[in-house]
Amino acid sequence: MSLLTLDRATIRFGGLVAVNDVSFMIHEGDLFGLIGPNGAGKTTCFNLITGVYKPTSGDVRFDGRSIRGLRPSAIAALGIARTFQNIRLFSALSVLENVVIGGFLRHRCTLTEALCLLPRSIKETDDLVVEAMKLIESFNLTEFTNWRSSDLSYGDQRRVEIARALATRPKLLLLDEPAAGMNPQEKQELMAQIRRLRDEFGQTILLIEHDMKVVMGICEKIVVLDHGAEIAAGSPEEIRCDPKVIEAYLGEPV
Amino acid sequence: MAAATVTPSFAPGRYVLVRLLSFLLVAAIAFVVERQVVPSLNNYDATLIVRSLLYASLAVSLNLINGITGQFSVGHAAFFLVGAYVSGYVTRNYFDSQDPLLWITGMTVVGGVAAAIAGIVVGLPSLRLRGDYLAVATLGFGEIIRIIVQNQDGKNLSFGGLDLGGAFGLNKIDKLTHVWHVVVLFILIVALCRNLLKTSHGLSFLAVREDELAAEATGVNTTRTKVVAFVLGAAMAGMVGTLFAHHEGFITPVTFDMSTSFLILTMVVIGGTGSITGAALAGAALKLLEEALRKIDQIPAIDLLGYIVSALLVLLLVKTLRRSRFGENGRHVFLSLLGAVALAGAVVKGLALSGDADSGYVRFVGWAMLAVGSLSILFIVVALVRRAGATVGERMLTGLGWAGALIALVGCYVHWFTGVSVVIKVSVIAMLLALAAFTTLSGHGRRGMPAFGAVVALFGSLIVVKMPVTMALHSVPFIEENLKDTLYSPNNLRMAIFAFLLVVVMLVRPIGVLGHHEFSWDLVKRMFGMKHKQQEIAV
Repeated sequence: MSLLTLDRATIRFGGLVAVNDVSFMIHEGDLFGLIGPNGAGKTTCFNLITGVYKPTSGDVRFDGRSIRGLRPSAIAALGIARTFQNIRLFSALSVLENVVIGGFLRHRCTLTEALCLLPRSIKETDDLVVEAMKLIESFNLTEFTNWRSSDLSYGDQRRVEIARALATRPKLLLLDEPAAGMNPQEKQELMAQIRRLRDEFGQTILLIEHDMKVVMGICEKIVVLDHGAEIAAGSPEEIRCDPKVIEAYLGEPV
Repeated sequence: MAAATVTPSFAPGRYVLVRLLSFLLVAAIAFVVERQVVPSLNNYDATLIVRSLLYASLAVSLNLINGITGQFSVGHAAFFLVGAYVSGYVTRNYFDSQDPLLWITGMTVVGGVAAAIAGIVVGLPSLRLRGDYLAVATLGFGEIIRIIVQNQDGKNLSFGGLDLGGAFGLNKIDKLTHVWHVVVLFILIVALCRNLLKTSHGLSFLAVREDELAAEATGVNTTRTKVVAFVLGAAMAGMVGTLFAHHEGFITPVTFDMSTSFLILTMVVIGGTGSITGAALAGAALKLLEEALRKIDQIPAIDLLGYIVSALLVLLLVKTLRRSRFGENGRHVFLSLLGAVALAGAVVKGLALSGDADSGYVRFVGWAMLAVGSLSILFIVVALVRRAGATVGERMLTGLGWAGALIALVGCYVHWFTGVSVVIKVSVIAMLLALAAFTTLSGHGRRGMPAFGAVVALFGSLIVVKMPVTMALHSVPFIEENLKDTLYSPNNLRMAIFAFLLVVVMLVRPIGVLGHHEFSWDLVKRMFGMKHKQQEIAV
């Protein structure tokens, strides 16, 4: 059974159809790529899935139920986490605090317990801190644990954002241009990391990326959008040779 | 914040012990305040303590909405009002003097709940608003509540004929508040906010402040968080209002108008948005400053004008010198010379005053000025000779810095013998001591000495320049004719003074004096070098 299904999802902003009749399915364990020229509607697609926008028509189903019209925090609670194209870390907070907030979903203690600092609230916070430290370590960010997140380099900030998303223990991870602004070596490391996430932890990932090396290198299935519409779908090899994709996006066969 | 230093092992024994000790400590503080401190104070001093603590609590409660959750609310006085009026009304009409402590506790809850309901009322519609728009909405809400109350005089315009005394307010509320109630409430409010920030719940509030979209995508229900912040902040303000009403005995709508909201907001912004410590300190300090201003003599308008003009002149000169061929060094030398002139002036003035036969106090001040002035000049000479600093200007400023420290010290001593309330004296001295301890222990002191010297020099230059400027102003016929007899009372200028303070803080440090920093034991340990910074990372 598919984990995420976009069923003829469409969104209009006034006269502009940003996403037009897009359907695809992501299965558990997929490493799925979403590509297309600038303005093709990729990020809007992410915003549809995560509940920032509500589709004008069509449906988004996740894990067997429709998530159309749910608020983003509820969708996050169901198991979809994302990163942003232009990094949106909690910039005044430390790296550790950023990642701990990712685990906030999973903690059960009530606000009253937190205000009175009852044992459970301390324990749960401690547990989240320990988990966050592990995540931070796995991203090789340990030395920056107590840094203000805005003081980190661009590439490191991206990795903190991924760590924060992973801290929610998502069933589906959405990465919006994770390699943007990274140098070739950082890109290599990132690719290795993403693949490891999938191979070792079975993480399902949907990613938007402009760097063809990254996309072709790690994605197993790719959907190509242009002007809001889906123009092709398939394996990297099929996409590479698809004349429509070449015309609209790639420019020449890669 | 706290989470960075949490040790991942939870020890039940230590937990119980710490809780027990904290409760004992609070009880002990309450006991000492009630039995030892209050009996030794007169009524006015006790009132000062109550008011400064109440406003500090208000600032901390607004900090929860403004600083921690980042929702710019400008109507905090309304929640304060709701708490005060609801509890005051109930007490006035239903109080039986059987168990005052139980009654005031109950009323605090009633006031808190009433204000919390007001918090929901303003919180829910405000959810769609951000930044400036939210500020305008809350401002309007605050005024609406006050004006409704102002019209509740039991006559035609009142809802349901409810009589809240209209513009004259509620009077004859039983004065049930003791000083220790206020102390305990203050500690309670600070503790609640601090506890919140120690857990991941607190982080979700901070996340809403930092980035709403990202917080929502990470699973934080921003709507709920914002409403909770409004309700909590309002409830705290309502509790403060209850104690306020039962302390003053009468309340009028004017006490809760827009200027009060702005005063509380100023406290939060000056203290550091998001810092509980900052809000509490700034709250107490600004309230005490407001009370102290009532006691200061009136200032002739021309003197005031003289200060403003000379401040502009000095700033202009400093600015020009920086760009002139004398450069940075020339500016430092110039500033220090003006400062030194001021010190020389102090010596001369001291000589004159110390010969005064009539008043012992004046003679005493004279001697103090004489001694401080000469010692300070000596400091500058020593700094010049010892070559403390790269340039001549820096050396002179370092000397002036030390002189400033000496002036502050002697100033504290002299200030002790003035007629100002003992509460204000103690607070001023405590804050100066804390500042001195922090700067010296954290190592900012030595590095900051020339900068501190520059501040001293600026003030010194102000005094020097002000004299001729005032004389010149007196000789301008237009000003002399119109302002000759005008006096300003500092009390009436208080909002202007706060506004000025706010502008200065915003220019120098836009995130407020303390920024996001909190007082914590880790900070103290770090300052004394007991804990190396690296250790923290190895949690």
